[in-house]
Amino acid sequence: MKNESAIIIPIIGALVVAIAPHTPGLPLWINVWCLLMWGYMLVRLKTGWPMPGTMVRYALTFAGILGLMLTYSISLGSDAFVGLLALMAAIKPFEMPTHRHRMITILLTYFIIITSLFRSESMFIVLYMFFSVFVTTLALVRINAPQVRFRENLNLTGTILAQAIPLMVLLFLLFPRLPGSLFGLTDRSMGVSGFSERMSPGSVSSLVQDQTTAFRAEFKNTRPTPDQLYWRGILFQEFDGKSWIPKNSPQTRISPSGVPGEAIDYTILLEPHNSTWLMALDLPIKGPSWARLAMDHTLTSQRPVKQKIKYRATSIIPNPSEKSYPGLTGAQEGIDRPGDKTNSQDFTSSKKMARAIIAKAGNKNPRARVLAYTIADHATTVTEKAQLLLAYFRENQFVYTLNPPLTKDHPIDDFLLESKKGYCEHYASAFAFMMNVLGVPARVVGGYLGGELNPYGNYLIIRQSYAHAWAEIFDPAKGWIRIDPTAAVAPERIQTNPDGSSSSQGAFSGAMGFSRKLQFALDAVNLRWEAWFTGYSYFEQQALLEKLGLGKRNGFPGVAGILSLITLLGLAIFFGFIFWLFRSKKTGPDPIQKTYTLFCRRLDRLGLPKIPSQGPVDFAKMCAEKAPNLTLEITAITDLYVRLRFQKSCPDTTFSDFKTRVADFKPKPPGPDPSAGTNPTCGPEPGQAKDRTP
Amino acid sequence: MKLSRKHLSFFPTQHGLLFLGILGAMLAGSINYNNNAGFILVFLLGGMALISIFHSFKNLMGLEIIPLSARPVFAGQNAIFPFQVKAGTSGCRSVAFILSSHGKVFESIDRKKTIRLKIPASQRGVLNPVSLTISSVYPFGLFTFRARIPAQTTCLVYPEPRPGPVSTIRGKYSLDGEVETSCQGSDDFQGLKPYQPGNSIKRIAWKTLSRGRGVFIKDFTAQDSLAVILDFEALKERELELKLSRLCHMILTADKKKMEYGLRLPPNFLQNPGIGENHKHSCLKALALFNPHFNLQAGPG
Repeated sequence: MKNESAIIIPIIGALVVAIAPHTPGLPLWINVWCLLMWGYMLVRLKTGWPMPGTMVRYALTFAGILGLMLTYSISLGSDAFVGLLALMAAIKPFEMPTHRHRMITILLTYFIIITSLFRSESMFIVLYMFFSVFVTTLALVRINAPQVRFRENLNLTGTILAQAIPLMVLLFLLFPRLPGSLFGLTDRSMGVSGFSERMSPGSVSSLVQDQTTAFRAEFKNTRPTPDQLYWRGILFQEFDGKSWIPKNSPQTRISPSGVPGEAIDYTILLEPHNSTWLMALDLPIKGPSWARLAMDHTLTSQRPVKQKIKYRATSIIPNPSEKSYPGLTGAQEGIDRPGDKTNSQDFTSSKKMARAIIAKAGNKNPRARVLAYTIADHATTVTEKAQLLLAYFRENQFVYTLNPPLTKDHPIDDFLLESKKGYCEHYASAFAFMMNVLGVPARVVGGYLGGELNPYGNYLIIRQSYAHAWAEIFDPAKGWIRIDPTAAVAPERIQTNPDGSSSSQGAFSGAMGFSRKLQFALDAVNLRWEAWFTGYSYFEQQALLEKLGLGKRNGFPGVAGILSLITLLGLAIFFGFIFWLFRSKKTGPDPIQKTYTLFCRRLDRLGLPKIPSQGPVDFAKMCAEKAPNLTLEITAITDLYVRLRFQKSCPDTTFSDFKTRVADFKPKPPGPDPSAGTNPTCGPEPGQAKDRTP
Repeated sequence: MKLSRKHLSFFPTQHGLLFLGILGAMLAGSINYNNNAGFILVFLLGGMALISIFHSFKNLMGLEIIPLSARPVFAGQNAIFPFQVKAGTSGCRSVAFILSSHGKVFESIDRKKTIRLKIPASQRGVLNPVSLTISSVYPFGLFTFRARIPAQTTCLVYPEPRPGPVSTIRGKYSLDGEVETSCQGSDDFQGLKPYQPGNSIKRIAWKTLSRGRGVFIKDFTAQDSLAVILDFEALKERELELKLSRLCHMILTADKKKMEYGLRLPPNFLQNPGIGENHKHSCLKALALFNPHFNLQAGPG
């Protein structure tokens, strides 16, 4: 029993440590299930309760899978997979009696560890992974050397782990990375908030306040003021009566020169969101080399963002000396958008544009159309029209709320004339729609507004809850102008983040609670980690190689390929060398056996094969009978062989005598037997012919 | 014999292959999702497996194996081969010693130890375990280092003793020791004969020995008449092995009864009558190595 506990306790320990990071994500019953099974095994060691039999194990497995199916229904997602792993891990200790099962359990545990890494790559999870690997490997060593003292197992595991780390670092840096995914398998929905490709105000009754980080931004020199923190993401350029949808826009190259306002450099660490939109401060003029900056000033990547990425961008924000432009005031001043070549277009083409944007809406929202004409049809300039619409919002008891009522067929009608309750999407959507109705091209921008300053890291955290939508209208004289209709209703939303936090340093007085401080400190450390660890990918590897003088500029376009080849080849050569060094060595029969085998082979050629069951003496007797002319030699050699084998102390000369006699024993196969000639079916082997002669 | 690199062969175990498979799957997943933490785990585990090879190698290096002589056994018993093993500088953990695919023991050796490997001895003769296999999967059970070295040891296997009536060349005596002999001996001193191992120490001609003429024994006719010669030819059994088994039993019985006995085997082997451990061993050895086709002269001892 003691022997058993020496093995079972480390294995259960390894399983517990490996499953632990999953526990918050697993349904409660699986956690309880695991605890019960492992608890039983541990209590059993003390009380000697019986080991569950095969039938019980099958019943448990069946019950577990049934439970799993009930919990996750039929969706075979990664959550269900982790649940299955946990169930297996819970029952596995019941199958411990054989070494084989124990080994498989440990290998399963390693697999559980990697699943936790696919959930999160934060520094704490990675540090925990090392601990987990240590515990699991300790169990592995334990089951392979149970007689050895535990302390020795512990030392050895630690030593091997420590010795493997340099190798790990080297491989991590040099192992070739791909710019994309390997199999195109990209379903990685766990822990990733989706980024919607479609904006349908009124279709969602309440917005969940998701406090997870959407991205982080670190500014090089100056940090914008809170009301400048408009993070441009997706641009909706068409409205079908219910939803705004994006439209492809040609790529552009904008020269940063001659733009009024201040250019700001910053770095963004974007969390995966499963779409191609990249966040940038309004209005980006330069993105990373691999990204695409469109005519409409949106940044997109080639592929959906499936893992954290880091990139640098440059944006233009209005000069602080000028009055900032969000909301109504912004509309008066406007900002010339130098990238748009539509400045020269006249009023009619503007009208065409506006009609095209809402063309798909058909006859929907008729009351909103009428309302738009009523409010602002008499106004002559674009700015004037916008002002009148915003004034309407302000003066008609519109309420900013995150829990607006659901709308029906004509969402904008319902919002403008009935509920008058909504959040940014409702305002931006209604405003843009009415502007288009009035013949002013207007579109909706989706992104984020604000940012929470981490005083320890001097960067902004932009949370999912900071998501925002605003409008852009087109003034033939000035280009696209940002208008944030929400500001007309809830100006405080522009100045502060939805959760009341602030992006300015001053807000952090000594009043900040300890736990909040700690939270910020941990986030800052984690960001540093993510900046170099999680962000390390194909591009970073290229940069590193370039630094090492192996980059593309050396004229080797395929350096990455060559490097990967070298890495793999190096590993292959290493393993090949190990296998060669310790290639399977037959200890070879000892020299006596070797010589005797030679003797037997020579007799075999005469047609005197040795039957394996035959002893050397019987064999010699048989040979002597069949080949009387060789009797003398055969007997002598066999006698020597038997003596060498069975006599305890043989003079050294015996072996040399034996060897020379065998070497000299070269009997000529007897001439073809006459009987062989008469029988054509008989093989040409003279030995066979010999065999047939009596 | 000291283990060195050239004795060792290396290959992954079944679990090692499974481990490599899992590692490959993990690597593929990490590449696909560009998961750096996954890469770290894969490289860490791979690195550890690699490092473990060196520890495994170090564990076996310098192990020294010295075969000790094995005591003769009777057929049907287990032959026990003792080996003295000395660990290299840093000890030797969880090593399996396998003798001729039979006797297997797991040992951890700190410095020096005697291990005993059992092989069932099924047949009389010389049991020669050709090779001793030393293998270890320490520390992870993923890779095996194995060395096969010549065992360099043998064990003499006597025939299996089988009870039955006893017959001798000069008459018969039953198992209860009653001698039925027709040949009358006398106590007359016949002369001196050269000493042969197994002769009674009481019969040594001490005077001759003290004069430095060599070891002789006094030969009495009467002594001969008391001794029996166990004769192969006198047995009625047909089967050779059975005859040898019977002779073996007779020798053991005679030895137990402190009876003086000799052994005769065809065609011309004769062990003169005697008593004692050495004599018994000589006789049993002759049975063990007996071969009707060859006249094998048993060596001394």
